[in-house]
Amino acid sequence: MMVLRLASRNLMRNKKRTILTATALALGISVLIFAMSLLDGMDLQSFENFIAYDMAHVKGLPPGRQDEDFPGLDFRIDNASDFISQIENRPGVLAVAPRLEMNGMLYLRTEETFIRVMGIDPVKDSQVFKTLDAVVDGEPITNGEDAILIGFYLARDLGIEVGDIITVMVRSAPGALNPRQLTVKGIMACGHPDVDQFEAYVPLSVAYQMALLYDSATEIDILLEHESMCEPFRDSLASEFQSIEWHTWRELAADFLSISKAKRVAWLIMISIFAIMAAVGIANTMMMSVHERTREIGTLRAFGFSKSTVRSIFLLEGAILGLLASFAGMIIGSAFTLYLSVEGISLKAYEGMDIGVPLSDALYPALLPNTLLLSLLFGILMAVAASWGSATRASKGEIIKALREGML
Amino acid sequence: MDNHVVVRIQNIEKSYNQGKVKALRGVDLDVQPEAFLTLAGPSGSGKSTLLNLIGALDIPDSGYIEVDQQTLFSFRPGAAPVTMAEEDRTALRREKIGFIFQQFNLVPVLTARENVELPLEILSSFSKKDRRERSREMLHLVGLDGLEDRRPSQLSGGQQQRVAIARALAKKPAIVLADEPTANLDGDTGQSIIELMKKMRDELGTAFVISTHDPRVIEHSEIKIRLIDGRIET
Amino acid sequence: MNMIHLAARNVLRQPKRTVYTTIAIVVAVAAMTFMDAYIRGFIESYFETFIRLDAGHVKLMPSTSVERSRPTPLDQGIQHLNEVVRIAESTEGITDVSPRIRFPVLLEKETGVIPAMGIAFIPSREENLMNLQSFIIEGRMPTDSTDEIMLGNRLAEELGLGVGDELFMLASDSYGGLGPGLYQVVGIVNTGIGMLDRRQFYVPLSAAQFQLAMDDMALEVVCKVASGLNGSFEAKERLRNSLASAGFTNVSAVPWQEQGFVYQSVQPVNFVRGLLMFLLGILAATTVINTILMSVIERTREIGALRAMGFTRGTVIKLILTEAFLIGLVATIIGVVIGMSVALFLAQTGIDYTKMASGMDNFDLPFRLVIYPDPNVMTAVKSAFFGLLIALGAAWYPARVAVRLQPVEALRHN
Repeated sequence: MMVLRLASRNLMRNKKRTILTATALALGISVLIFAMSLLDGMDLQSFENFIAYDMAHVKGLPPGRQDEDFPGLDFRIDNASDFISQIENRPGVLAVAPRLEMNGMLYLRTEETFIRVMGIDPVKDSQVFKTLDAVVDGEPITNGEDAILIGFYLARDLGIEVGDIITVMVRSAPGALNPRQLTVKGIMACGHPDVDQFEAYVPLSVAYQMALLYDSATEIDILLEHESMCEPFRDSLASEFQSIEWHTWRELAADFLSISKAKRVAWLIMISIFAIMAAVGIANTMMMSVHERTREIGTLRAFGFSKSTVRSIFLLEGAILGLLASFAGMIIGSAFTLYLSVEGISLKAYEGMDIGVPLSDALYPALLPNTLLLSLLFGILMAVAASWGSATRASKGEIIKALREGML
Repeated sequence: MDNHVVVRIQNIEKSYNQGKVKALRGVDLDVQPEAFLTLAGPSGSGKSTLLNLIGALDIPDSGYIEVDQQTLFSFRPGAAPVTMAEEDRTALRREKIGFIFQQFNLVPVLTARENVELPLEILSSFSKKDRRERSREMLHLVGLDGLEDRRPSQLSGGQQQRVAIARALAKKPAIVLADEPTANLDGDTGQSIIELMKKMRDELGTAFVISTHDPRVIEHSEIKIRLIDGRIET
Repeated sequence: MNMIHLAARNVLRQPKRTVYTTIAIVVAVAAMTFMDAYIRGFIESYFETFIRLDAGHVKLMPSTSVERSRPTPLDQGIQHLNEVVRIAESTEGITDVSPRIRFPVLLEKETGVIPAMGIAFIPSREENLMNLQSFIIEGRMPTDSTDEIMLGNRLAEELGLGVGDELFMLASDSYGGLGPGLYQVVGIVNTGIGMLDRRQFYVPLSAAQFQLAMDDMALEVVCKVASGLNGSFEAKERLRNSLASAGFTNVSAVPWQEQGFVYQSVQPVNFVRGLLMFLLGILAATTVINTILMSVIERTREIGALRAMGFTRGTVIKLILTEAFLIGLVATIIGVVIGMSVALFLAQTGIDYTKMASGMDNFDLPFRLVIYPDPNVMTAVKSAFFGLLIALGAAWYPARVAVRLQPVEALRHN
């Protein structure tokens, strides 16, 4: 009790110094909170986009396709509907859809650009993915029609409007370049930059004609009831359908996840630099605090305060300083983070740049309770560790010298 | 009870700087209960060293010293040396010894009452209520009623030293050691402080050992010891 | 005894503490100096790469292309190219001029197609611009007016082609037809920037003009300015004037800062730099406040005596600030020297992040992974200002404390 009172009153006594010392740590803590929330938000949003527009929960791929940078139609699953009908009625499966992907060029007047043409079954695909819900202009495509859906940025950059007739050229499965005219029926904006910039969707029937194939797919996408079912489901498919490579979305996003981890490490390194700087400040203040109170320490020891009690006075002082700083940091960091998690951080400036996240428009940081707890612990531990040396010195000094000369 | 002394010192020697400076050269001294004893002598005569040894803040090179019937140190020819462990000396100070300093040494962030309660905090025998009662009683005894909640900076030098006396006596120690208690005070205040210490001795029966140059303090003392060159002048 | 003399004596009275304070400022100033040089180095190399491989200092492009983020359609290119190049070359301050065509093409490989990007240029004009000859890992640059091609190393791998092989491609021409081109591979280049090495190939302009039906046309003309990075806006004005006076009103000059996202994307870096500076400042200030406050409190009696002797509050404040200034000055000089030395040393050797990034093969960074710090005079000046500001700013509080102590109280206090 007395120890607590001594510690807190001494901090109060030098308010300005306490505030200054705490500021550095508070700032470090708020940066920690913001950075962690930013990364968490980035991950959460990215995962959503991955699942909703790109990977579903579990994806079946033809063997070898994943290793190619620009795979052709040689890598394909034939008789896709057989597989789909065997999978779609299993327990836990919400929906299954085939997709046929081809690299090609899009031409409108003298404009041209690369695109990824995706043949989809509109009914099935809309049960697995949210792509067709993202149509912002015109209408989604339906089965059998000679129509195409293109990404928002693609449309904007090339000046394509709903109703325009465009030419799409792909290489068919036998190997010839195969141009085809299609009417733009809708424009979609998913917030997944790859989709909005490079992709176009046509009904599967049209894709078959372009590829000169029937009932083939370059991927089979499966949406499950729960994300947690991904791995066991993948395992059961892998043992049953060995001609296809089955992957959970996490495996497909492995590159992204490892980059995300690397980013976390990079941030942690930067934050630990902050922390070391803040710790040096605290260590310095504690050193001064011990120095100023040498006589007081001598007196306490003369009165029979044990070494460990004296040490705990200073450690507690450091801990309270850490607690104050952490709270301040938590408030600043959370306020800033929460504000941005509502407002969003605009990514418009990075349009067209590969920033390593499947996000466009805006990024919303996600403040998780764990982050707050972690940063509180981190701040207090940091402060106590920084006080350790001074506290130990305070407890070890010679009492007589402390009393006589005011020096340890 | 005839051999019950608070402090017994026999043939104590103490030197510093690897023996170059001999602070005490064979001192014998018994302090009886309720003694009011002054140690006088020029600076460097060994007053402070002797006080530190009695206060279990330091250990001698040779001789024998006990405080409140506990042997602090014993090194005599023909017997095994005994040195009290540091934790035990800390405990001894905690329970049996009170200190009063030249510079008062009150904790500046604590009020007068909290300063008096401070040494009681580390004694398990005192509950919070006991501490409160004892501090009120002590501050009343030293004549500081109404000033309990002031910080040291809000008190005069004399008042601060009164708080220090109350603090030293709060746990009712066997002995109080005062190091130049009046040196930082003006004449009249010093006078009143020495009278207060004597009054406290009378009421509580605590032995006082006071190192001092102050002739008025020596005048009040009952046992006047004078140290010269590390020896007691006879 | 003058103020500086007195202050210097006080500073030397507690050498240990002075050294301690000095170290705090030295560390902050040195860190600040190095950081500034490092960030400058990083940003400059990022800008330099962008300017070299794409933007030039100023790029001439059809006015209709200025707002586009994708390549200009071939039929909307710059007409009367030779005339435009001649005008640009004769504009004051322009050292190099090179016309380029960027054209998308599907290159066929065994199992599919690769969306690739052709860069057509006049190789002899690119020596000081793209400077690709320094990055060739096999073979040589294509020569002017031939049907030679150089491939990015990853693209060559993907296509399974090497020096000596032939490459056939069909690219849509400026009339919307398909233009055939047959090229001979003479070089493989590794720029160190993944997204270029995977997708780009390089051919002589004359061959591309023929293949794409773009006689005397190009999509862009890249200009290099003698005065460097910051001369771009001035050069832009001059280029615009000379083009306009020759009647080329449909050609725009765009400085590199206004092309793409590169210039804006370094703003977060500046924010982090500011934050780090602030923290360094607080840290050093804490130490300075602590040590000076301690020395002031220890000297309470002495300051009281000075005040009793008739020193004014102002004089006492000046004394304390002078002490801080002296420490700050010495510390700043040492800090700047250390920071600059480290930066200058690493500016020679470079800091190599290639190994660290090797796990992120598919993550395309638009800059190279070796950073050379780039310290300059401003770096030193800024840091010196920073160091003195910390010393004086932080001493202000202890100085106020010193004068608040009343003479009598100060004399009584010990």
